[in-house]
Amino acid sequence: MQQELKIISLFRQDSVLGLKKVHELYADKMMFIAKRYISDDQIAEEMVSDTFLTVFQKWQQYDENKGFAFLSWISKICINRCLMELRKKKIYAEQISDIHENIIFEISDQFSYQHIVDSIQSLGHPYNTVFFLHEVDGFNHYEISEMLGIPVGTSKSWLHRAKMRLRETLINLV
Amino acid sequence: MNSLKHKIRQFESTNTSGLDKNKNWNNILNLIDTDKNRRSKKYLYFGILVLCSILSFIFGYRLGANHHQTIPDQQLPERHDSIRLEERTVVKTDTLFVTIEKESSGLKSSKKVQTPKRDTFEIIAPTLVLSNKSDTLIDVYKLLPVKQEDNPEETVIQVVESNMISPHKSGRTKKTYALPVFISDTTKIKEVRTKWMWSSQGLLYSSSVKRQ
Repeated sequence: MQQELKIISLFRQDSVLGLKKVHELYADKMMFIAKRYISDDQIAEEMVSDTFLTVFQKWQQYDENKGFAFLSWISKICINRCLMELRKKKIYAEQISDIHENIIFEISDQFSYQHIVDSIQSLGHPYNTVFFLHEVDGFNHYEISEMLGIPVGTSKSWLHRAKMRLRETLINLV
Repeated sequence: MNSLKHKIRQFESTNTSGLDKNKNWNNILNLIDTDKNRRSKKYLYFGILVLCSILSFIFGYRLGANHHQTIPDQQLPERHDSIRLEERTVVKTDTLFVTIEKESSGLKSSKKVQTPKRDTFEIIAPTLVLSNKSDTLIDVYKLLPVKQEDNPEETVIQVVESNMISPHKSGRTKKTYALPVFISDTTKIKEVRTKWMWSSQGLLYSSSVKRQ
């Protein structure tokens, strides 16, 4: 929490100074997150900029007493911003019946980061989005259903399909 | 075997994303500037809008009530009730709105009444007021000059058509009132305009006449 307190005190002194510090600390991380959801690097960079603009506008809403890290807060802003961008393209119209999934996804060390990320992105929307939200960013299906405006069952079935397809893709790579 | 989440996070914590931080920071500063400008413009437009609303309210009220007076509380008159005049006021404007219709031998006609040219037109305000004063009304009435038999010098202007918002009823409702108005000479009156306005003091009444 020391880090959070420092950031907030910097924001209180000078919000641009605080934002600069946050940018130094988390810009790379946000870019990684944005690139997971948005395959176009240029748009992903815009998402990062928008994220920091939102942080600049709403840093007072961050409550360090709630116990969650500033990184989690800013990550959620970034993810939501990316989802908004994806929603503009109306990719969540598909409704799929509920399929329960209980596959624990593990991956061999032989795959590089880029292999994995490229393979997930090759799943296409909305499967890659749900996969990243659930498997990497740690949101549960209820949170995902709220974020994407879809039923919980749809989120589960998309994740199930995503895992199946990813498995096939990685097997093919081997 | 590592969990995929662990692998991705481990990579992201030890590598750079390829983001040009300086370029991105400059971009963010530009966004902040643009946002500030947009907000200040928004506040400016909002301020102008509020100012215009206040000015239009003040001037609209003043212009609309270039001559008005407060009428004491009374009961809402019944349909076609004549209301005796209690106060005499002078209308100095020549604006007009409604054609005076003349009533003779019980028949209404739209013949125009002639009056001599004068700068002022005397009219006596009715003692009409409604108990609830919160609503605002500016309305125009069609007026009928009616000769009073007991006082031939006094002309009763009868409101025959109105579109008044009564505070006792919701919505607009048509009512007919008779408003006795003293007119010293009605021979050159072309049109008469009356306005009603509910205010915190009561019903405000204003009239003006156009001569021929």
